[in-house]
Amino acid sequence: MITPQRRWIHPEPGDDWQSIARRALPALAVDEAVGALQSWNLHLTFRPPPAVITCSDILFIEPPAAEG
Amino acid sequence: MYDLLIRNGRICDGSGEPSYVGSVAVTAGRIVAVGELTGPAEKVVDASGCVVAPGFIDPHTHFDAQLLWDGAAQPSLEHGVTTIVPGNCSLSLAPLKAEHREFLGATFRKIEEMPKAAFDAGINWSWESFDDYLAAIRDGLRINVAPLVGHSCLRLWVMGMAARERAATADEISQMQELLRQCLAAGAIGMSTSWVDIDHEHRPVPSRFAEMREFEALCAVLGKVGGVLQVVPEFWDVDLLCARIDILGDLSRRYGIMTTFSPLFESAATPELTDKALERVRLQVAHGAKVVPQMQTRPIDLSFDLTAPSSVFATTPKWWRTLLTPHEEKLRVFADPAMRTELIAEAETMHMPIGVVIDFAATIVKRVQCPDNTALIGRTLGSIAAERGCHPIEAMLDIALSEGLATSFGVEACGHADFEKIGRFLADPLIMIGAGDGGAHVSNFATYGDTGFLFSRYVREIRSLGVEQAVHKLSWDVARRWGISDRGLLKPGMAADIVVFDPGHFDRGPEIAVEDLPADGFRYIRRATGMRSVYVNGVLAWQADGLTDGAPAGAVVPSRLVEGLAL
Repeated sequence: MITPQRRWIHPEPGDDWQSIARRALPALAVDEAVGALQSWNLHLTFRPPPAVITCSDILFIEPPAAEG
Repeated sequence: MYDLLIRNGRICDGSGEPSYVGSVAVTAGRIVAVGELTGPAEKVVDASGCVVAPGFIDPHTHFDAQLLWDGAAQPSLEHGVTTIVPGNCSLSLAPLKAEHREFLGATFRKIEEMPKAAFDAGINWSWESFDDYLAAIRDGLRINVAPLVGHSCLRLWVMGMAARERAATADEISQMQELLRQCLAAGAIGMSTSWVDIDHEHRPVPSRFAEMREFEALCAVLGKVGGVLQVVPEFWDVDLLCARIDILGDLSRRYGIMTTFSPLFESAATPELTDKALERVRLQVAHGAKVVPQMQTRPIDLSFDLTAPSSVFATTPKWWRTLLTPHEEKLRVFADPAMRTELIAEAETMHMPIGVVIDFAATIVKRVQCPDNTALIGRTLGSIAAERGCHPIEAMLDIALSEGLATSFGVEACGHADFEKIGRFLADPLIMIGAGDGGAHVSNFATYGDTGFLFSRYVREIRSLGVEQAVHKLSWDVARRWGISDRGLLKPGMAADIVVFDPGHFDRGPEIAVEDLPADGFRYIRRATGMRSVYVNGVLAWQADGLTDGAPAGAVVPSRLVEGLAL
């Protein structure tokens, strides 16, 4: 088993930021979790219009590694 | 008696082993002997001073449309390419139902940047199935074709326009599996998919709506016959790319398939990217996966205009939103002083898109519509701005506005330009040379000549590869990975795809515009220098004065898939 360099998930059909946040970061309040997820996934947060998120997207559920 | 004897050449047999002076004999389209040969032969060619090598294989092209009006995929042959792989990035032109031609055509033209007039004039839609598409091109082929079937096409066929909206049901996935089997049986070498491309309406292409279970199901079919999976990942972002490499590693191990992604390119915007990605590939390979990055040899050139959003503006929301508006609104915004100030401010602080470095001052005026602007062609916006006493972006907007936004601007060598570093990567056994994009972006920049550039820049100038190694990387290294088992080597029994070139002069020429597209369309190409003759399946297909007028000898390859396929 190769450990992921940075943990991620795929969105599921019908997902929005809130549902992903509840599933991926259940220990956090939803708003806080959404904020964290959006800050870790700028490729989705700032996707140009129409900004569709798909089931094949990578969605990181932890922050990027600190630069060493 | 041989059909053909090529004598006194420096034989680089594609294996990468040391070259030697000798001869190659051909009969009935196959190599029958290599070494010290005397003949007799119906045709004897003296290759003194030249390298004699297997024909090169270009694993990443978009010649799907061009093959319908140009079975030679020009100018591929003169660059030594005797086998091309079209159908990359989830897009082939088959299988495709009649009702989806308009959508798929618009998507293909948007992503591969092909003029609509040429596309419409050059294509006679006589097929729906993959088999019938191959029938439409087969008789005219002067180059070998190893076609991929596009995942987006599979989805469209089974799901209709819902393919660009949602995940597939279990039943739809089963239907896609069956359709993929049919395409592989017809001659597809594998399947392509994309995790990044957007269609002409800026929506994700259908393949991007697939869940992992759909990828798994399709890879299971590929695994039954040794089919290849080609993918376009987020090649500009280290973390995303490494995650994609892990996905490909899992798919490769689970289904026993070769996976390849394109492109991997060196980026001044993210200089650590290539090393980290290759490290991840190395880890996956060490764990038994076949994950092969494709790297092009030439620097990245881009071109754009201000009629529609493009990757140049992917990280500048104000520009993107403006470029999405109707034409008259764009004219208004680009002329508005306050809006100009905002647009300039955004561009000056932009995060570089897709790993390239966009320097508007160094951007050139590439093509103009008004005769009054002809003198600007080839000049940088920086020099024009200095002359006019304005900002380079103001100069760009003024020029574009003066001709209804039709001006084309070019950003040359905006990525993949650290040649010392790239030379090391190109020589790495883990990396396949590819990602050339032949047949795409035809009216924006030339995608041809990567083979000659490999020799001029990396063999002769930087010396990161020897001649034998360079030949190997362009021939057997590609063939063996793709399962094209009878090409890529100069050995008895192999297909007689042979190139004869001057190793001291083989190079790409300058970018030129030629008017050889259907409907009087123009495109950018590069000619080759130093290539002497090119044989496809034993037939002289190209020589220094151009294409030969013999019968087309290209083939759809390989045919081995059919034998292993249980329908």
